Amino acid sequence: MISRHKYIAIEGVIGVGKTSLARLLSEKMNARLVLENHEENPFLTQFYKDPRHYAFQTQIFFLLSRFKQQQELPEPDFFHSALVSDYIFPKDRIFAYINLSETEITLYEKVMGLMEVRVRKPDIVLYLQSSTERLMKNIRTRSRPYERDISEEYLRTLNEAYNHYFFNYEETPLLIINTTSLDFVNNPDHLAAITNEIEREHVGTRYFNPVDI
Amino acid sequence: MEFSERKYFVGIAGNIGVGKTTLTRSLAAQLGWNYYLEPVIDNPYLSDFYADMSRWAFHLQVYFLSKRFESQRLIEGEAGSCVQDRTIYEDVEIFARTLNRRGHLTGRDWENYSALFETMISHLRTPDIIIYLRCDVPTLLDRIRRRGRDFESSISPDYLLELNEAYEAWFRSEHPRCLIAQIDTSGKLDLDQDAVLEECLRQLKVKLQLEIPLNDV
Repeated sequence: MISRHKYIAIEGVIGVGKTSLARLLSEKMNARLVLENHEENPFLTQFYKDPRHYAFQTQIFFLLSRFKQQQELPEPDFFHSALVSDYIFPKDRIFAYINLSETEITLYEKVMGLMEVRVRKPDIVLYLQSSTERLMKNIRTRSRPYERDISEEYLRTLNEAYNHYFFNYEETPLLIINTTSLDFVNNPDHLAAITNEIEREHVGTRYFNPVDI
Repeated sequence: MEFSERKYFVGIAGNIGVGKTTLTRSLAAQLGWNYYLEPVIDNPYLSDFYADMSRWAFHLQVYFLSKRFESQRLIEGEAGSCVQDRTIYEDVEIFARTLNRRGHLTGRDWENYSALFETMISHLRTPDIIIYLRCDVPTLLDRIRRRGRDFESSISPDYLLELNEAYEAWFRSEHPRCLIAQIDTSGKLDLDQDAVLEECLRQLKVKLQLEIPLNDV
């Protein structure tokens, strides 16, 4: 199928299934897949030891890394009609607001603002929502080594920060999908239901809360 | 009066007290161009920085960079040619590098800052030429003393020398980012501003093939 969207981006807390859904959608829509490149952040070790001291440096490194990736975002080509990405550039802000002091936020926003206007906006953003318990279960199941130390408490903080961010989100059309009872990886009907929702015309924010599929 | 269709962008660079502002104004007046003086940046990290330089050097420099970037974008939006008093490049080439040499902005902080700088300026217009005003430290000290600005009274000869060395290193570097011309005003306590302007116009004519009516010079 060919999507009516040229650029679809998927967001959500770690473990919710962004990358899996991005893969599935890109195959289904014959779109080019753009996955976030997790560049090794040289400040991270010190950040974990002394967050207050290294938070700003850590954030600027991530921001810059994400910005550079966005600058290299491929254009649709002959073989692919669209892009599907497993992150949005402004996600960086969610983490910044968790980690930075108030004065650092002000400075961060200056730099972020200068970059943001130079980044292409998706035609639609899908925010995958889930309960913290379900996320915790997903992370344990896939057991990636760098995710081992994620605590339920941290996950809850992240989940709240994401919810807060997307409840106030206005930059692009937004589809909020409650994935708690969805299994789009193994169930083709669930994937089809999501695809149908994506293709429905809408402006602003819309919720998709599948209870009866 | 415009003598050319082309929109020129000339930067005036140099140490504290060297006469950048005077040249910027007179050059703009001579050519009928716009001019931009260095914005006064009230950096909220300055007092933290003086208390613990290594801890706050990164924050300090990122703040300066963001403010300068903003004002640079405003300049680019203006129509017509312009002269700018102090360039954004001096932020990294002179001030950040001096912090780096002094051991306050080092290692990953230096690399993080440099990468941010390079990424941001890739979105800015490069000046057609930078005029570097050179001057020796004793003459600079004398000029600074004469203009008697309070906040400059504590500037040490060592610091001026360090900045001078950074300017020289930049001027002589293999990739100075854009064309740089120099005017040396060393040893001239009573600087002949007209002579500096004349020399500046001469260099612009030669290096930018700038058309300037000779009778006005």
